[in-house]
Amino acid sequence: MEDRRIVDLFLARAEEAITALDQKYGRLCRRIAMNILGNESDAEECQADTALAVWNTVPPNEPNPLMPYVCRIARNLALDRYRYNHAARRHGAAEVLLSEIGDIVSDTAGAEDEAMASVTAAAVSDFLRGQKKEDRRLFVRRYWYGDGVEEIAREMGVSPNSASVKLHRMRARLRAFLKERGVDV
Amino acid sequence: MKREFFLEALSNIEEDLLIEANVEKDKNKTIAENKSRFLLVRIVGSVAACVVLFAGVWIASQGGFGKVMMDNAAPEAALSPDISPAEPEAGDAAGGVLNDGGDYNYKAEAFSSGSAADDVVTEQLQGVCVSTVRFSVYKNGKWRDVIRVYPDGLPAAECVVNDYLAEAGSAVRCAGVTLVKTETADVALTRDPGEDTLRGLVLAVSVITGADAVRFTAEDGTLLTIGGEAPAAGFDPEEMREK
Repeated sequence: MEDRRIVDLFLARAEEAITALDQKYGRLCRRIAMNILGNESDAEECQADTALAVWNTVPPNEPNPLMPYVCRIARNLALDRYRYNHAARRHGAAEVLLSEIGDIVSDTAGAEDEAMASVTAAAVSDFLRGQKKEDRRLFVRRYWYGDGVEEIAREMGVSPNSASVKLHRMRARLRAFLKERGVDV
Repeated sequence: MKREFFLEALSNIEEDLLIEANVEKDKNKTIAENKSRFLLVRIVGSVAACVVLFAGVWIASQGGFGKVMMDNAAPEAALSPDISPAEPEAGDAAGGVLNDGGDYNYKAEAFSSGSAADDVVTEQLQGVCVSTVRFSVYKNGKWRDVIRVYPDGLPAAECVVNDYLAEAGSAVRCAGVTLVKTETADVALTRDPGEDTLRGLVLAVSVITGADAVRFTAEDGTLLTIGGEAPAAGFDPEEMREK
């Protein structure tokens, strides 16, 4: 079903909107959540919570495109869940991601508000646009979608070692780029 | 900056970057799937080639293709040279396929499911306040009461449409309206949510009966005729029924 049609169903408050959304993006949302949480039941809960969140926010929002909107909700819900799990020492798959991100930011306390989040996101977007397309995809697949290095490498037709090396170099370049932009890393 | 904060901040990167990565993921999957599909095609093709080869060897061992066909042909076929194609059935109108085998002309052009017919019905129904509606159909020079719809759209009763439905449970569906023959004289009528009952009913009834025209009378006496070959307005259907 076309995204526009799904959004129309939400706007019309038709219950089949949930089914249509789940059919099209349910698996992707669960995958994103699973990559962060590493737990099937938590990931399924995130998937369901995502559908509910879309129902509660559309309207007034009319996302176009729909996919990033839905995926962003799923990711944020998964990160919230991760924080909850982490606070109680219930660790998840995001631990591996975080250990790699340690190459980019120093993990010290600093200004961490909404404004800083926007500035950081904008800077990362600008950085990625300056990269080769394959490297850009690699980075987003790894640190946004949370996919595993081996899986990404297989799908992109490169060796896992090559993908790891590329990611390592990109993290170093990103750290330098953020510093130049005045982002407190 | 804390690592968790950075990971969360990444959620706000620009959307086209997410789409690009995801589209490429699908494309890569497609490439992998195509490779598998190509391999499957090669395997199936090899098996098919083997089957053809063995079939050829077998046929040759039986004395050739002509001999095989001759041995298997039905003997009557050669003796019936004048078989002509069957006459087509009286046409299927949109949404309904009924022909009671009587002497009715099965014509429903005026009520095809195309938009032109719908527009006609809609136009003529606009502004008409209908609570009780009686449908009559004009066919072969006669008007017949077909269906009566009660005020709140409840199933119609005393419906001559039953003549056209073979057995209990058989149904005709057209334009979001379904007419189902019941065990009694009644015909149950259901409609899809949101569908206009009257519009669907006009179309469904016309399809069932193959009527040349459909007339319905509103409670306030308004008489509407839809179709091309009915008598002029003012014609009294009651008078005809008595004849």
